[in-house]
Amino acid sequence: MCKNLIKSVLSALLLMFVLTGSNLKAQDKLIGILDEELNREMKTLKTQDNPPYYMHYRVDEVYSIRIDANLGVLTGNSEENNRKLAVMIRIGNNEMDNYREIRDTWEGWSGYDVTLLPLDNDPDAIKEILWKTTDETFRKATDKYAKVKANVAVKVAAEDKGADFSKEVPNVYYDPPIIANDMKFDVKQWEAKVKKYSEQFLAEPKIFDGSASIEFKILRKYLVTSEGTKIVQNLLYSRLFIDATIKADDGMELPLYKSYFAYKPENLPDDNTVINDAKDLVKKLQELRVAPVVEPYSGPALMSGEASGVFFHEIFGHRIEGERQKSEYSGQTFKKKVGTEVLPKNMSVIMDPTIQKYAGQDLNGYYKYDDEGIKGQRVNVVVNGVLKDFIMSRTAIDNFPKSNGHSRGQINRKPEARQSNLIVETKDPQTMEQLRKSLREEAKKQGKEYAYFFKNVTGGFTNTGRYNANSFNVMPTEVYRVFVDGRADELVRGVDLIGTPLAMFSHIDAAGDKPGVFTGMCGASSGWVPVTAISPALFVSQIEMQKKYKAQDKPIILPRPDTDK
Amino acid sequence: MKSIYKIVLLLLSVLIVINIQAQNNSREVIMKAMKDELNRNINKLKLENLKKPFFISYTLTDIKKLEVKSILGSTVNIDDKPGRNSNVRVMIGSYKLNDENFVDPNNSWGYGGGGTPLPIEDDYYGIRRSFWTSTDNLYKAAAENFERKISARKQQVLTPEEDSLWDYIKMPKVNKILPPKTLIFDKVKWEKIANELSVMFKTVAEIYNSNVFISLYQSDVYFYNSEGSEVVYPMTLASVLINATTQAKDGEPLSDNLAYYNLTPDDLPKTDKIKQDISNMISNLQQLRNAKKYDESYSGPILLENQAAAELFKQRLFTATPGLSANRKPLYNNPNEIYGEKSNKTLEDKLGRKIMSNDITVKDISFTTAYEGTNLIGSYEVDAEGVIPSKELVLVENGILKNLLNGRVPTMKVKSSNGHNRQMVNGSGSMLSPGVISITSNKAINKDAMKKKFVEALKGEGLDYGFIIRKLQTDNAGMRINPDKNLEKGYDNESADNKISQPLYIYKYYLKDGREELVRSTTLPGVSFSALKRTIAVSDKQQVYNDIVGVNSWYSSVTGVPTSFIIPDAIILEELDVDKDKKAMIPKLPIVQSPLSIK
Repeated sequence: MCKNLIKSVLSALLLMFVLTGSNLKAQDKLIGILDEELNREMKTLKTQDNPPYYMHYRVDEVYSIRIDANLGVLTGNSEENNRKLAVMIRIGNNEMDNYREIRDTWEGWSGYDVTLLPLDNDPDAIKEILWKTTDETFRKATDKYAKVKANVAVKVAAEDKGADFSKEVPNVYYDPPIIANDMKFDVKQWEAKVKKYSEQFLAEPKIFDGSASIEFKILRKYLVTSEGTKIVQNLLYSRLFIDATIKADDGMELPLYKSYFAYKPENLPDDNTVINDAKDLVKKLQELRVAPVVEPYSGPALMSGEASGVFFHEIFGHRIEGERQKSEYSGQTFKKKVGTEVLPKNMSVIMDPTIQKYAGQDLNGYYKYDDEGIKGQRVNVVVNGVLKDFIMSRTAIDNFPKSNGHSRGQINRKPEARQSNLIVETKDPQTMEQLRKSLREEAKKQGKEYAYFFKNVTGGFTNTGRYNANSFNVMPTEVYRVFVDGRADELVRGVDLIGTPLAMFSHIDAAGDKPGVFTGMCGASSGWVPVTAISPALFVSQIEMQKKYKAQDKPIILPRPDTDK
Repeated sequence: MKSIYKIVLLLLSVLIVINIQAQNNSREVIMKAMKDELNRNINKLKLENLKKPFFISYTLTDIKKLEVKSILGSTVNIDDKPGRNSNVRVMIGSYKLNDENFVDPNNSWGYGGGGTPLPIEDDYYGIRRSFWTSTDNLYKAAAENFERKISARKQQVLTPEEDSLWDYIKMPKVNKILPPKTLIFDKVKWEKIANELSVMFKTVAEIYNSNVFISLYQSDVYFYNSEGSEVVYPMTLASVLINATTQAKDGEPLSDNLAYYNLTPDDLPKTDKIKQDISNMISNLQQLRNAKKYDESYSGPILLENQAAAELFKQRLFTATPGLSANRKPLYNNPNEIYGEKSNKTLEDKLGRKIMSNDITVKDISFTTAYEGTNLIGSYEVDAEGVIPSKELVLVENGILKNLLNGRVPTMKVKSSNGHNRQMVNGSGSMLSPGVISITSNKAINKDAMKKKFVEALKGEGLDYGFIIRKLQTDNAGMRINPDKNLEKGYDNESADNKISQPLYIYKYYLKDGREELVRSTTLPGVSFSALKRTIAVSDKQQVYNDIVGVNSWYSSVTGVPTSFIIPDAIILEELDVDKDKKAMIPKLPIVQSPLSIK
């Protein structure tokens, strides 16, 4: 946690002592209630035909506020304060249990139900709900275990022999509660701020949607397991977004945005910065609306740090997640490449949930313990171009029998190995000027009039399965033509960056000297998790671009009402 | 002391005055924004080679609410954030022939374009911008749809009646501005009440799941259309919904519920009264757990009392298909891809013919606001299309079908609106729905006489026993909030024709000794209209049944249309089937003992 946070947590702590004089454990009855009921349940369930060998209760206590404004007017104001419960019961043993992949069925696509727990710490009410949810989970678990056994008996042996659930040492960790009122989130003040930010978009009459939103969230995560793990940890998130959309005459909707992330709202940028950024967005949208549409292209490109971060997250990050090395349906691009060179020799890739700041920026992928109660660990995935490691949950794979604290998941999904803070580093950094020079030279060599520079992206997606091509797609919002003859860059629109991972890696030629930090939410089979992707700018000798889907409706017929006077 | 009191009162009245003032300003801003934007669009909106819209309507609902969900004495969720939603209708063509009443499965699936969200503050341009983008999107879709419909008509043979049937009926311009209602939602108070009610289940280990949901709702609905109709009215609803589920000893899922609806929080029953009802519900469920499973099959007279009589009438006449609502058969682009054929079932062809026992008359009297001191939540003065309902609409007279509820879309036999396209609470849409329904019998008799008739009928049929049903599972949308998925008593195949929900409290009445025996695991295989043709007796005592008719709630709010029924509190049907319920799956009992049972 950052220094400021510790301070405020400490002061909150102090306050509590002053006010109540009680000790910490008494302040957090929930952990004790969860533990008691878990032990009681285990005792009886152990006597059943298919006894569980592991069980956990996971609770997310959420307090969040979100305020939205559009073109200078408030459009939303919502608050969430609840406790969500997830129960996991594992039947069988560590080697094989009910969570094993059942091949050739749809089994395993569980729902997205959420069970709410009381906000107060009434033990009877909480235990009754835990009891009912445990009963339902146990029934499903025994049924699933029978199906796993049948599936294993009729199918060929699974290629990967890793255990379904690795054996780990239990952990105990406790963060004192954060008192929401101490967090200085002033609703009135933020209403005024987001109104002011979004008001900037009124300057361009063709902008029909120009919003600013702030979300502040205090997440207190509980995990109690039958192995003795007891973890209570706090996470804070403040996220500010400004985005606006304009429509080109050919129907293409062109959104541009800027996002800011800090743990605490007061560490978000000041009004001047955000207002100036909003004004910049307006200017760029005006240019973008009349910018030329790009035709499909193959050739050299330069990607900004943020764009490269997303690019790495998609083409590489998702392919080094443990579960994907195990699934018989996954492409397993890198499974057999450990110890071999997968990237240029001067590049390294690290996945590190333990750091809170990078280049002065708070990181969204930070946590102390993962959702299986394993301490988050720094994983050197690629060292000097050579693949060394995968990010692991407790789902073991061949040669990687232990978790490295990367099991993550939305409360109502089974946690799986997911990315945290992805960091791409180079030992041979080049300035932007050097990279641009290389880009021009390469374009010239390939006989091109220009190459492309990807400055900003909204995100991307990738397919890691075996049925369809193992491709990725990065969605840029701001792309420039960089001319061989040294003319000024030209803003263009209407493209996505596409490719396949292995071909792509062999074309990474050089990296920049300044890291770009992309803050995002990543959605995959275990749900949405907060992540960061950090990378220097990259120069790539060969990329491919395809046309972007565009809306087919004509531009809005009448002028915006406030401009139609 | 006295003077302090005065000052407080004075302050209060100042506050109220200021509040109403603010509300009036808010009303002015919202209505002006809607009017100006609508007028701009009806005059200027046009794409080259396409027609201008001939009709536009805007609806905006401004909502204030408090929702509390409580389990076993503890709050699990509270939502008190205000919100707004809007609804826009744009028509191309003419009243006679326009883009509506047309089903085209291949119709535009593309992403039309983004829009500007509706402000939650009274910002004139903000509101206009939101209607501006929605109108634009809808105009483009409607203009294209109109051309597709014209083309589809050319490919099909239409009867002269079908060909000349108008798409939308002209109605006189309406100007109706009703005063606002300002309700105070005391969060602390209602959270306390919710917890006080839900804590009652804490001592009952045999109830496996329970929850209390209190929803207080206040809204102002704004409506303006290009015909110049201008309507503003308040809509309020206060609901207390209580659910409990358990299992019988053989595993059969059992559930019961209580629903209280009224216009304002103050009109809701006193907490003590609700507590008494919960207490009764708990003991009823306990009896039901121990009740015998019905393992026979019955066909014969059935006495329905209280809630069961009300639910039977409500479901059979209004929420089951076919019901007493008109239903326009749309034009289909491709008859091989007809969806929703079933929902088009209508009683239209039976107009003028007998559909019920000839002593029964059914009327809609939506202007009636109360009955014997009970508020009628279904009462309303103007519908979602700005149409004022008739003071009295006779639907069934002495058993003969006279009319059907309708909005402005005419059908073959119901050519005009009788003002029943109604605005939903918490939803942006509207649906055909009754307001206040009165059902009376001119041969009504008292309860004792009814019982005698029941016994006679059973004897006449040579039966040892008959059935008395006192409660049916409700099909009320509000009750579906977060039911226990594993224990929910099935609403399987709920959209099937003639489907009526399952009996909850059903008693075998033994002829020889007049004994009543509660049984479980029964089902009503379906109640067609013909069952209502043969009634043995109807009670002379009327009950008020306030309910929400509507779509199943897939999110955690009460949605649908408030309706009221003034209905006889008992009826004997000459012949109805009761079968044993064949469940697809019966879950086992919980393995571990409930923590509440070991206290």
